[in-house]
Amino acid sequence: MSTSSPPSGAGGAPDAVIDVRGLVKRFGRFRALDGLDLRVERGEVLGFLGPNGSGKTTTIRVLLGQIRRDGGTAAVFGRDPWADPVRIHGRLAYVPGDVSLWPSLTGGECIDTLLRFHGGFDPAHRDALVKRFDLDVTKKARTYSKGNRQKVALVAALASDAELLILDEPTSGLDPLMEDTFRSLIRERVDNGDTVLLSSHILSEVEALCDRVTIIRRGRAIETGTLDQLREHTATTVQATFDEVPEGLDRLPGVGGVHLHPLSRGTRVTMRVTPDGLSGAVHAMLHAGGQTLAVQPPSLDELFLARYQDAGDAG
Amino acid sequence: MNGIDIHGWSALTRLLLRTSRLTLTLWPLLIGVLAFVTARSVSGLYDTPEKRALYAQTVTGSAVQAAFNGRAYDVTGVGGIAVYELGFYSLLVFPAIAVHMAVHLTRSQEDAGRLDILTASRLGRTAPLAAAFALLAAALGGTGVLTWAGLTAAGLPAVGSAWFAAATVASMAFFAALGVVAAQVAQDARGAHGLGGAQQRRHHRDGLGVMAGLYLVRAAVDGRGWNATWVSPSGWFPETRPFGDTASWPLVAYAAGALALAALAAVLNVRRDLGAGLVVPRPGPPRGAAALGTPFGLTWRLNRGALLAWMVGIAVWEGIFGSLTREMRAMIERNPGLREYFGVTGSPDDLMTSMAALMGALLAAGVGIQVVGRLAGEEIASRAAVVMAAPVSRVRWWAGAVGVALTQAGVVALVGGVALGVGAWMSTGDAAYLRRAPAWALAYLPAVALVTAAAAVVAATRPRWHAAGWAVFGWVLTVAMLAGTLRMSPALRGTSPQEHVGRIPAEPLDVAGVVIMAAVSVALLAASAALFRRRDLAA
Ligand SMILES: Nc1ncnc2c1ncn2[C@@H]1O[C@H](COP(=O)(O)OP(=O)(O)OP(=O)(O)O)[C@@H](O)[C@H]1O
Ligand SMILES: [Mg+2]
Repeated sequence: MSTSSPPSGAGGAPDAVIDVRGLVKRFGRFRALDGLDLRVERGEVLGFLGPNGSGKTTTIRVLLGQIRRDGGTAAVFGRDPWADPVRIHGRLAYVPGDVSLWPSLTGGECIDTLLRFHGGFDPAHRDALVKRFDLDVTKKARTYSKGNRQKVALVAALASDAELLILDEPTSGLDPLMEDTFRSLIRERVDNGDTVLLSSHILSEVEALCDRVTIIRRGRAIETGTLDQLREHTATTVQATFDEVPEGLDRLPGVGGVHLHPLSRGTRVTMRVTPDGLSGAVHAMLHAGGQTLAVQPPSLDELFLARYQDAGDAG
Repeated sequence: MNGIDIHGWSALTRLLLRTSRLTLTLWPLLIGVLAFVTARSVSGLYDTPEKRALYAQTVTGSAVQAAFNGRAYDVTGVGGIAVYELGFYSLLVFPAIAVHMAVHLTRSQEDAGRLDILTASRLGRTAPLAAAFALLAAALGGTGVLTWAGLTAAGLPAVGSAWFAAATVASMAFFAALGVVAAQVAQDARGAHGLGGAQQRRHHRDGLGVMAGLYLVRAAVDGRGWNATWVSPSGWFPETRPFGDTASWPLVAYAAGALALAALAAVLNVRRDLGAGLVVPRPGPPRGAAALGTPFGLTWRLNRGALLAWMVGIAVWEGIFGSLTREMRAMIERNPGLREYFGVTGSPDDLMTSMAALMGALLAAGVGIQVVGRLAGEEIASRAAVVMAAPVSRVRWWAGAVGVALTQAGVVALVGGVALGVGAWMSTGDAAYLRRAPAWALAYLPAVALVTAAAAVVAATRPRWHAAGWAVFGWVLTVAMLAGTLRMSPALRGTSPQEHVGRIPAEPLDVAGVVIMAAVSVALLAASAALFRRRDLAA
């Protein structure tokens, strides 16, 4: 059950700020998390990605001790978040994806409330952040737009002295200018040696900030690695034109998704080729008299779409 | 009228019907059942002309009865007695239910942001209001039918029962329309999705405040026996006289008032939407006080406005009832037989003051339940989760927040006690009331804490069930008002905490009962904290 103790040093490297193994969380009969593994090393930004409903927020809620796990282990700073939340929370800050504020308090009061619950804070730092996010803190929270509510939570989290930031879609609703501010602030924190778990659907943000990403689908981590490593495992698009299409292209090793497109003269062939089949496929096409040949590395979108879709949609 | 557009109201009505099914069926059913059990008990209790004559003799001219239940008419017959025993409900509780339903059907939907996705489709600006009116009409129609069925099933004449049902529907329609107006009046900057709650509470407060004010005006008039009961719509109800010399003017007056208020609501609705952008919200403090950084401090701050309203409300309420003390004394002196009938051993004043002390305790328990409800709201809105992502343990947060519920309930109880003392002192000139009345309020505190603790256990078990705390309130109120009429067994009465305080000051304080209740409250509070610590947060 959920009371099994977290791995304490043994096996887990001492530098794992977050170490989750085989995590299971059920809601009734539905398994929202189904054996999830997740590691965040000290000083890194880990991107946490996956389709809607795949279990990202659920994982974060387990890590914050808001909900109790049904199986597996979870450790934050080497401690069990359900058994020992207060010690852990003193060292982390959290930004939810849909921030709900106290309608009758001003933005400034909300920020200070959150910061005071967290512990001591530096008012000058807070004011600097308010300025950088261009937030009017004298407005009542009930009048804030979605983006402004998000800014309040971001200021409160970033003004704290937390070593770990747990961010669940923190920039949903921010305009591009503020998104940029957010990115530089996160970089500053990382330069300080802080650690970030960033759940996000904004791929450019992930590319700009994350050292590694973990992709979750249906409550399981299906892939973890750097973006370059992901690219290495993603099919490349190859295009070639022929007067006469050679036989057996789709039987080449690593080749799939072959499409023929008749042109006024000849035919254009588009196919997806896995990294290990690439040199063989390119050779074969040049050999078969290809007139043009274009090789396109996977775009960021392709990188993730392939993984989000593979086995159909998620719960 | 310009700007009124109800396009799409029927689709919206169906949607509202689905989301508000419980509210729309439960209240009419409860009212019907209450009418039935009361009428049936009354027929059993007052089955001979002699018994009815005695009843009539005691209630006629009783300041307490007049203040709480309104004017007594036709109380020599079973129907009239049933009407009178339901007086407190007809004059205060049913109108409160009407206000609640109206606010629920209008603003809660809007505040929850549920309407925005719909108004984006082709939906007239006034359609939500039209849908709410349609459902209110249906619910009140159902209330009328069920009330009539309840009274006739208990053996009361069909015609008189129909008059009573009609009066109930008419007065509830009037107060429902008042609730709809209250829901339109308070200007708030809109577009704050998912932040509802707060606004809805304000509308409830405004609507219920006006309604309670009308009740109190009537209580002051009737308690003194002035011939001016028509000044407050709350006083129109008894004038229908369902089982006597019936009068239709109250029905007409209620209907006309309801229509006028509904029209006002429609006008305000159009204005409000057009004018929403014109309201410039006042800026507030850019920094938060240190006190906001603790669970108690934050919860206190969030409930500060409501506390102030409750303090004013209970001061007026208890002050008015206290000020009727002398009327009761005069009545008993005129009619010494009454003393025996009511079983008063001490001062005749005690009749009024013991009732007022009990009511004050009930209101205070309502404060506790309300704060606990807001606590559950904090969790449902996921604000509690954000606070507890800071180094704040579950138990600390819970203790701080429930601590506010208990403290505010206690403050309101004491303010009520002081107001009762002042009212009774000004009425009788007896300065001892200034000391005695607050002491009664203190004696009731364990009972108040017990009700609050019960609500806390519910919220700790499942926050979305927190409204069940009001069911406890309803039960305690029913035992307080109708235990005798409904011939409740001692065991059944005993489920209500107030029964273990003793009818102070008319009877001596039940010290053991009070001590046990205090102990049970502590146990329940500890249990609620344990439950809250062990479960998943709702959001
Ligand atoms: N309290 C709950 N009760 C029942 N089911 C839940 C609960 N919370 C989450 N779920 C379900 O668990 C699954 C995972 O939800 P979760 O919120 O973790 O997804 P997510 O990855 O954060 O999605 P998104 O990208 O949309 O934010 C979903 O199918 C969701 O419906
Ligand atoms: Mg999520």
